[in-house]
Amino acid sequence: MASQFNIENASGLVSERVIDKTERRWLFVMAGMLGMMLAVIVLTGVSQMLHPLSDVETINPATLHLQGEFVESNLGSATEPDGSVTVRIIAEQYMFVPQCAVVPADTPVRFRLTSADVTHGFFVQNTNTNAMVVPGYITNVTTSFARPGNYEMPCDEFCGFGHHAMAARIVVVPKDQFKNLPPDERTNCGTQ
Amino acid sequence: MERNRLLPLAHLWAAFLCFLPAVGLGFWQMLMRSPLPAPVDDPNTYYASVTAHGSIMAYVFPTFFAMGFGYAIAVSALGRPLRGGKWAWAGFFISLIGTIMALVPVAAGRSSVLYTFYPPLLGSPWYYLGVALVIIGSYFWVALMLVNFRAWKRENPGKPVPLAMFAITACALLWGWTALGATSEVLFQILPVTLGWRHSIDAGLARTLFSLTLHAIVYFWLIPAYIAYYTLMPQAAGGRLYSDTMGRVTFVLFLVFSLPVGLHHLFMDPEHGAGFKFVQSVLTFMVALPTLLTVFTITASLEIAGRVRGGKGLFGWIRALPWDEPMVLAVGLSLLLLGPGGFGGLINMSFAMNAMIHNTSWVTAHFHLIFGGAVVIVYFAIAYELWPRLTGRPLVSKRLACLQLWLWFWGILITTIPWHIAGLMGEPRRYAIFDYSDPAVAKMAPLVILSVIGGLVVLSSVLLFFYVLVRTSFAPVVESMPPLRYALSVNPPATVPPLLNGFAFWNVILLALVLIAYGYPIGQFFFLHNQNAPAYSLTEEITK
Amino acid sequence: MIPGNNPSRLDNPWRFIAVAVVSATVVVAFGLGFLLLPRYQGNRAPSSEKDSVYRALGFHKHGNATTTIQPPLRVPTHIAWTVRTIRQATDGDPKRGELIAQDCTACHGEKGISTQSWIPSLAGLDRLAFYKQLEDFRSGTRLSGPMSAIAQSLTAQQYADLAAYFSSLPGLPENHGERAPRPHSSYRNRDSVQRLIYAGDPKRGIAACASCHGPGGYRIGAPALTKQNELYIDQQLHAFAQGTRSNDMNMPMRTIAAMLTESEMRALAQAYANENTKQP
Repeated sequence: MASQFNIENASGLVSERVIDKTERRWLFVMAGMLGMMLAVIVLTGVSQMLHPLSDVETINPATLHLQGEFVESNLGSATEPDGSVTVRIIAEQYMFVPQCAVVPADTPVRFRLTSADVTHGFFVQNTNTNAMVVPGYITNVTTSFARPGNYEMPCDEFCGFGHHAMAARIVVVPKDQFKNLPPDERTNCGTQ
Repeated sequence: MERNRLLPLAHLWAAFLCFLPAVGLGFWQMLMRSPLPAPVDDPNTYYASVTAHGSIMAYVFPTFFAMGFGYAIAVSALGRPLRGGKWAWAGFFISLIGTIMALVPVAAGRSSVLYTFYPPLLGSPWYYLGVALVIIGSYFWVALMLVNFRAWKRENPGKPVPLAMFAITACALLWGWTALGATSEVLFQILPVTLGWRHSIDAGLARTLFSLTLHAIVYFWLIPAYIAYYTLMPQAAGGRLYSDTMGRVTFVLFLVFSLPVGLHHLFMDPEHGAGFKFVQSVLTFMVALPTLLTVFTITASLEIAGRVRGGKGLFGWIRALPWDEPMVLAVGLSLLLLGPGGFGGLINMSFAMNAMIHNTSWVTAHFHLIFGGAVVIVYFAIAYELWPRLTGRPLVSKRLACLQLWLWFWGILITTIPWHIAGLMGEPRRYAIFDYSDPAVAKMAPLVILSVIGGLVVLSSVLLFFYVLVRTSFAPVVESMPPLRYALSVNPPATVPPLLNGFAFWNVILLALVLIAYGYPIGQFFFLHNQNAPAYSLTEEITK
Repeated sequence: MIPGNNPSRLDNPWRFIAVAVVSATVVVAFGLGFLLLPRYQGNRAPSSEKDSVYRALGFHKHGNATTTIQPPLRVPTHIAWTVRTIRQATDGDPKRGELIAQDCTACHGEKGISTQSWIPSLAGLDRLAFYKQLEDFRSGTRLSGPMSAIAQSLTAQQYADLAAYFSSLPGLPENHGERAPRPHSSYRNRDSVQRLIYAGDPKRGIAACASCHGPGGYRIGAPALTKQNELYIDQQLHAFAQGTRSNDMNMPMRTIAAMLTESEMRALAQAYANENTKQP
């Protein structure tokens, strides 16, 4: 593979000083660009309160159905005293329970999920609500939906052979409509 | 000398012989996910296939490749036989046995856990043992790179270690440190459960230990390609490396900053607070730097070669370059793929944007573009450089080699660009089948079909690669094959600062950073909460 | 070391610069991540520097809303799949079980193969599934006139013995995750019931039956269905759909059955009952 060219032509073609200068200039430009990206991340964190999930909470995955926050009667949407809504969903092989949850638009919605068995993920499509559900831990994500509609929520972490058919639905209704829903229709949307 | 050729050759054959069926499986997987008909239409088989494909492409192929390339460099760059050849062979066979051990249960459908094997979903213990053996075999290589590196320095006091050797040793060190994460997870958490000694596992700790490996491993894959960028391409192009110093700085930056960034794979996880997620995010920006530096240095090196060959004007040097040289073509195409691939990486590491594409097809498309595209295309070129010199038979056709590289380039682009878009549209990853009768899913059908076409091009490229290799293996031996020559830099340094000629200081910085960035995130699992979840086997009750 | 070039002068500034850059990066990263960013959390903002650091580490206070929980109206089952329970359930003696099982043949048939279509076959049934159902009959979380009385007359050890005995009989296939590759197991299959069994229905969020019940799937407590009695399967699906059977831990069967149509339930029961245990 020896080149036919005499690469001695290239020795000293550019002085080391020039090389140093150009490399250093490039380094500063690149560092500046990365710095700006970092600044954007910090700014969106500050102005839009965009943060990764942060609350580390643990729970025993084997006894979810016996006691604690994720018993059957406590799943689905629940309105808090301050008007926000908490949605509790269990992720298991191979479904989310409840399969469907109703939430109001333009309201802080806090998703609290945990897994009854293996690691799952949940992703409300067309939004940036996207998180892992790890057994032994509770995933706590707060968001708010601007647009009413039906949002598919597939599982997005491989959880076994039925992974590809695991999906729930989030139904976002206008705020006043949600207030007027009867209580049992608010917790889950049944067979929608 | 003969043994010195056989050793790297064996590794490279092992690497590519595993690579071929893995690519075949990959193509089948693309068919399964698409609306097109696929043979053996079974989702269980798909998940086994993804496990095999991922394990080979992530653990077996690049490891054997780096090992073989490393041994070849140690001999050719240092100009002396390899020290510790027997140990090298031991490592080779351990890794080979590990490969077979891992793939058998996967093929039997007993370990469809995917190459990330996130607990508590577990498979056969043989799979994990196999992966551990592959890694343990590679540690022999790590040790030998260091041994040969230091021996050369002792014999050549004050002289700069050849850049190629400096870089591959940095690569080996990097791998040595980072593999500890996944290996600890396998040895101390997973194997005890799959062997029945323990019955529960902390999924959060497992994911965190794995994240220690998950990011730096991509730099372990990347650095051999960068070694070709810095030390092989300028030579093949008939020019010089723009700056040897910056080359060393680049590899040092990789060594130092690749590890303490893994938490950016766990942005969406509930077992860590936002504080350390952000800290590691900032460190990830630091590890983006060496790639950006490389782009400049290598483009400048290409320009040098172009101008030496008579290229004039602002862009005339591009045309003057010898694009019929596989190494030059591969690096050029690789740089083109590095752009969008790296850009995707910048998106993934910004938490807010990551939230939109986490675990969607965007992620799969991204690493196929950057690893399958930008990195593996250079692996091919390195193979074209090494095989003739290791076998004494000249490459049968540079034209075919270049055609193969072009096919790979276009194949990767056609495969991954629609895949990125599907991910943006919300297509989740790791799905065996999609129900295209659902109108929401049907929208993505044309994109997926395009990716299948791309996959076909990729597969044909690999077949052409093997055709070239096999034909070369039957070419007549040539009396004197010109040896592998590494590029000189424009101003070859007589000495380099010890900081750029050794790693002792950088190991200390690296360890400090890992402690600072991972100390609490890992420590919390031991001191704060012991959150063990029951382990779940894919195939049967794990507590017998 | 190297004559003439005085590396210490070349070297030391770089050592210092390296440490300085790394330290500065770390300090900025920690400062932003632990002190600045956690302050911007809307009405959950931390009250002090220390609180800010705690929040960033993952400690939190959610307040009353998530800590006051309605007492559970009912639990679906008293079984939890802890190591102790699993050990207990798998620790049975099949010989003792065989003796006890003589009282079961009247309904469940000789050798555990029931000839009455609405009564399930027990031969080959997974030990954990078996143990749980008896326990649920005992506690009343699963209702059945005859079975409740029977379950209450046996001890937990006897459940395990029976489970060991029945699981050793040939009948229902052992439920394992792996199976040989099986063509036509995706949505490309035109037969909607085969699709449901092997691929599921993501539009409704129904997982493939096989992914838990087999062939080629495993979920703890999910019994194998191949060669089970058709009417029994049909009845249980209806019972889950109506809520009259509600002992499925974390509601998987109630959720799925509620989404199945009448004809699907019948077709699934028929398909499983007639399914060959050999690979197609």
